[in-house]
Amino acid sequence: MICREHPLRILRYSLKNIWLLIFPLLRGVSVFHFDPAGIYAWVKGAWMDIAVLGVILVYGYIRWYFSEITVTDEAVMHSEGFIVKIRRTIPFEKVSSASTETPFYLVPFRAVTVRCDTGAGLFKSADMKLMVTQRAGETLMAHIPDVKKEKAFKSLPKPSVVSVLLFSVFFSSGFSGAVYIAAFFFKGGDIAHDILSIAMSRITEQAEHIYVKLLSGIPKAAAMTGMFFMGAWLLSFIMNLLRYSHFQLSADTDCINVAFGLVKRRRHRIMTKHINYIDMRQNLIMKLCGAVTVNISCPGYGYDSHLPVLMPISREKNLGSINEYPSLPRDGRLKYRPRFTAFFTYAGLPAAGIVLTALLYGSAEALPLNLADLSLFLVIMAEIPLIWLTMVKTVALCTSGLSVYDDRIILRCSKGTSFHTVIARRENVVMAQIKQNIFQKLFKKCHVVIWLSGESRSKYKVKSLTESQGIEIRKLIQHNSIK
Amino acid sequence: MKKFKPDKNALLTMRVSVLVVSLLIMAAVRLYIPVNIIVAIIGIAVLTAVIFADCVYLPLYFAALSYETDGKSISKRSGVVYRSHKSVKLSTVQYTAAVTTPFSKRTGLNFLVLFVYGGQLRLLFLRYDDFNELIRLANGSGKELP
Repeated sequence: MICREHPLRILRYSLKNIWLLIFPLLRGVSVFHFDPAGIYAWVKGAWMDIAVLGVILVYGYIRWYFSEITVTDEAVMHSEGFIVKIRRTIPFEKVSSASTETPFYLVPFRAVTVRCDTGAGLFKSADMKLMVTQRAGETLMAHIPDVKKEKAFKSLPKPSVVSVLLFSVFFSSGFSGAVYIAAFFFKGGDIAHDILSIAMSRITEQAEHIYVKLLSGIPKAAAMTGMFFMGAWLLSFIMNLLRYSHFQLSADTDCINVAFGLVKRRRHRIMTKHINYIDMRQNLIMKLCGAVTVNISCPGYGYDSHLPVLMPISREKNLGSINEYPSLPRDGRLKYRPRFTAFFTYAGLPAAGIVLTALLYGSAEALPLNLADLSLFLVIMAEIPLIWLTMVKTVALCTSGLSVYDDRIILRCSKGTSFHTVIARRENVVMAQIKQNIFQKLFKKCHVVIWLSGESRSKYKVKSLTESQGIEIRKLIQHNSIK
Repeated sequence: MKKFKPDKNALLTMRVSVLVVSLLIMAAVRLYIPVNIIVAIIGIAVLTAVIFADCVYLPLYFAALSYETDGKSISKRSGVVYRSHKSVKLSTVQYTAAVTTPFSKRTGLNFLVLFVYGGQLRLLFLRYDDFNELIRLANGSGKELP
């Protein structure tokens, strides 16, 4: 099949330069009055702008005309450019993921955007991105392997509306962070306002007058800041809800199909053999509820304004039932785990922070002007994340670890406040690195850092294993690379 | 093992291009700078750069540039001051970008970029026949792609 891109592409090609005319156009529109003589006068005055607009549109047309797509049984080729001609060729067997995007505004024009990605090329950008007619898009996608109905996994959990809703709540620009910051400004502003107004009333009898004039703005500003953070989160939540609505998932041994989106419908085809690793993410609430979000690392999936999510939120026990899927663990037990004596490595800093903050509060009681109230509030606000982090790191200590099997590696660790369960094929493990500081050297402990192949740097650290365990893991991984 | 050398016409094209660009620069300088001494200094600098590029750098660059393939991998040797030797397995090539210019059969301005995991190998100034042969090789199975 040989075809051109969708004619709408002319506008896209022209739009890159059309902004140059925005100010002359606005000036022209502001002085334009409709009458035949006026049109003539306007054209006479703006002929240069009109000529430039014409050149830009002709340039867009010429670029579109020379942009040609060829689809054969082996590869898809896209040639563009009319002076310097560039022809990209992607063999279908090298495609790691392909997707179609149909935004609502392209539906009336029967246009669709097709993206093809391989393991090479620039990070976070598609190797080939084409806007074509729906028919051409279907012809192209027909060459990309699809899930075969007879081979499809029947027991894959179906992402429900509730799971998408919860996913949007948890992954909307830091839900807990937004709530925390909003609380800080609401309550902190309120307390600061009380303290300052009392202080002012003590200092002068005119305090009430000054308070009304000067200080009434403080809680308002604080409230506005708090509302801003909540508003930002709400916006992010709505965007996520629209982005991940109607989440559909199907898979067989070779391919995974994922579709989602209400306003912009995205349909992805992911080749299983190109998946670098699976990353199951949880926060503390999800961990306690036994819920999990399944993400994957595959070139071309999850870099265009959406997360590389395979399953929004699902119960961990439900994942265990999909044994047909080759890369998921069949047992959760890990061979190499840190001992409980590693508590200080995991949770030492936040635990020390809790004690230190409490001690600081003790010394703050001597402060004048009722500042003790403010210090109590500040201590509570400081203690909340510290206690949270201590809980997270304690749970991480109990769950972290690593297992190396013949065909895969499974590791559990925490990064910040999130928990990760990573499953990767042995051939996708790039390196095992042992890290020791002077104290760890003394107590024969180490951190094991596992580097995995991927478009971006992917490394996961399991803290505080014994030195002998670290050496054993490194040997196992090296043995595999020698094989 | 098959060796490819860059097109000799490409050397001539590059020399002429450097000369044309330098003449354009000099014309612009003559047009917009009214001080004769500054024009003379810029002229001498441009002339030195042109002589160095056309008579020293470009011939050395083209002499050092070579490609070879055994059907399983492609190697590139290049560099005037620092010599480099890059090699990629053909099986690791994910996709290719072939760049051609007008009259590239005559000018030798044919370029092929091989995209592999984590990087790319740029094969520059290829003869048109070599260019097509390498495209077929890089895209796998030796089949001619339209």
